[in-house]
Amino acid sequence: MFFVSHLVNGLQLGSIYALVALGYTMVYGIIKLLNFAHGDFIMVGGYIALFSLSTTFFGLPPAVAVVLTIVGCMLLAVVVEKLAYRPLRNAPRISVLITAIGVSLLLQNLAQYFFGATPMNFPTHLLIPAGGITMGDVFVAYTPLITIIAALISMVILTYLVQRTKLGKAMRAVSEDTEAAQLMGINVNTIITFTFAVGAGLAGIGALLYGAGYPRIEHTLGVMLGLMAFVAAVVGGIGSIPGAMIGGFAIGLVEALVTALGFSEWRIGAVFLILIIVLMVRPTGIMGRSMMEKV
Amino acid sequence: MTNLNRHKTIPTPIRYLINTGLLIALIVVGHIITEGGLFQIGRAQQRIIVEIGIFIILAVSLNLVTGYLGQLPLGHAGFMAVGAYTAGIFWTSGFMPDGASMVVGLILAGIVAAIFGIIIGIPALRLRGDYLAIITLGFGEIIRILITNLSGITGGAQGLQGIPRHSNFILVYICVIIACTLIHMLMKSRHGRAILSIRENEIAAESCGIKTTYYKVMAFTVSAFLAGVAGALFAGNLGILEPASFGFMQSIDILMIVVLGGMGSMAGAVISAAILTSLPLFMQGLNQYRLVIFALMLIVVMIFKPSGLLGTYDFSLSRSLERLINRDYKVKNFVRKLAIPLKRLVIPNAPGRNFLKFTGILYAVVSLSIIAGSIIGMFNIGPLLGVLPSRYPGAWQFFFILNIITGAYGLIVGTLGMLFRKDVGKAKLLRVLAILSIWLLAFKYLVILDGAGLLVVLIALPIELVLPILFKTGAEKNQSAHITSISEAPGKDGGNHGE
Repeated sequence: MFFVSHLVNGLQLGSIYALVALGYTMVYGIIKLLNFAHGDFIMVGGYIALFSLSTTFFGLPPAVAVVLTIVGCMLLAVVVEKLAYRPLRNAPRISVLITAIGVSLLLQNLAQYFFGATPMNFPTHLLIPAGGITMGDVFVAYTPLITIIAALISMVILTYLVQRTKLGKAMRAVSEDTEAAQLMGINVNTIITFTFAVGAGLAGIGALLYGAGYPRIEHTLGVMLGLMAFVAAVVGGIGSIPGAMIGGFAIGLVEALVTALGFSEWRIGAVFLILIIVLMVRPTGIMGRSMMEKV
Repeated sequence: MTNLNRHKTIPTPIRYLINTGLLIALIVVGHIITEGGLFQIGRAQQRIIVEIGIFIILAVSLNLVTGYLGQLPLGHAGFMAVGAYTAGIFWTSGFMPDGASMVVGLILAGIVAAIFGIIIGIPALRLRGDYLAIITLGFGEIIRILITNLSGITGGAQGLQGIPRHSNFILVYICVIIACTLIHMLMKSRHGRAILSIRENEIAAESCGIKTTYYKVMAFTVSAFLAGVAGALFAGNLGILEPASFGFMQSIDILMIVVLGGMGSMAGAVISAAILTSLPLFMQGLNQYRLVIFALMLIVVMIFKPSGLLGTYDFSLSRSLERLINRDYKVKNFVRKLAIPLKRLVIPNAPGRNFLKFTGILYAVVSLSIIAGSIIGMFNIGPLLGVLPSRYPGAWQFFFILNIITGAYGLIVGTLGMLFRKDVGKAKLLRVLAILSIWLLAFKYLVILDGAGLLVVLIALPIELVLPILFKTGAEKNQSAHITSISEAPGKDGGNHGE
């Protein structure tokens, strides 16, 4: 029982990490950019969800709030991509990376300025009802259950989108070879914007699920969550979509395991240790392909 | 080649003599100013001046890896933390008599940090680009977590207290000079050229027989050593250490100093360390906007000048002196260079553009004088110069706010002017509009407050809008000529002067 509850916790956290890691990995796969601002998209999504759900603010029905959060995150990502990343499309990678850090800082500090530094309480019960189901002698609350199911559904949709649709094909083409894709008549800029939007949409779902599970929304929320998801993306093999899913669940389970063993204050250290070991043993991650470097 | 003979140079020993003399003078004057009691400098300002020195060491050492080696480590604060705690624990243990303990502690801090640098560098530097950023970030976090959790040795989250305050002006700035000299000499040597070649093209460097991993680890270790020394000085300045001050944000702060100053420019690192470290002092009145402005600055600089404000330009006193010695033709060149933008400013062949530039320069002049005013206010030397009444309370905060407001108005005027011009691309306009709107959001209250600024808008706006219309035919006729003249304009960016 003890084991199962920790397993469920790990899977819940892991599915959120996986959703966020997908955003990192998709953007990296397509323009080789570590989008440091991705964690902060979740923070913004968390605030949007909080304000639209909470009865003290707008008190919208959950379905509307979910749509608003996802669309809000997507819009934010598109705007950030247009204003900050697009002018640097041909700049050195290091400049783009620093810009991403700048965007992350900007979002955090704007959030702090507008919403204050004190954490706000997320109205969990308005999104997912309290209670749960009992399987045998194990009680599982609705929140982790719905989190895991929602994450899995999102991943299935994403896989369908990437593997079966024309847009997905274009995305894969751009990530394979940008110039060749351009020659084949694919509008690379549109595809990049679309990728950002999809990644941010997943971040929006992640924000909702995170808020439901860990109801503390503050302006620095994205930092640790983003870092962990980012580690998950790297461990899984950055640029690989199934890798991000596996990595996300793996990192979530590791955190739960370390907590279960009673070393909860070391769990972040453990995750980074795993990252370092993976990078040293297999730098491309679990699912990553090694690439030849061109001169 | 006859030119070469006519070009007078300063012999190397004399160069060194001049530089050494100036450095000694700097130390003495600085010591008199900060601790001599001649000027009324408070404890807080004293501490800021020491802190500037510490951040100069940090920035210069990170610049070695970021600017010269071309890698992006995100865990510089980790090395700083290692150095700080090593020195802090060593000093508080009272292992040695005070004077010896100070020096030994500094060196020990550097060595321990360098050992960490080697341990981290060997696996990390085998990876390239982004992976290096990630792995150093991970190590930085692990060091912070270790410090927090090993509370028996480090004091944990409560912090390490009662560290003797060894860091005074002379000690810190001697370390600054040693650090800068060390890096300068390294970069002038064969090893420095190897490091630069790795930045330019790692694969090509490797195929030329340069041991890239060796040089990467070497640069990384030197950088870690200096960061450790800076950390020790940091501990000696504050007297108390908390793990929270060595987080990811601290690494980003140091990175920001390097990036804004110019990646690969030591002068840039020194200048921007001085400005960014003392900025919080100026901005006390608007502390809540400080980080928003920092972040915006980072993005804007990256978009418009990705190599940083000074690029890879470095200042060299003896080179400037040589230029002065050979001034017969150099001055003429300089005047010609200066005259081109001025001429274009005065003769309005395309009024809209020129007027925009004119207002821009006006704002720059106003802002610069205001910054100068704030510095005068800060050090209370106003009465000496007869500029400010003595101890005008909050003078520089006021000036700084004013400066930002005028900047905001400059943006408004510039954007509205751009709206009415055909030769401005849509993307550029959008970018400016976005910056403007963020700016306006951040400063909406201040903008409303400031009447004088409104007056500026009211006067400048009609000029900005009407002038292009008045001269429209002329502007269109001259447009093609104007574009060519821009592309011909020399020395637009300062360029790369080597070193």
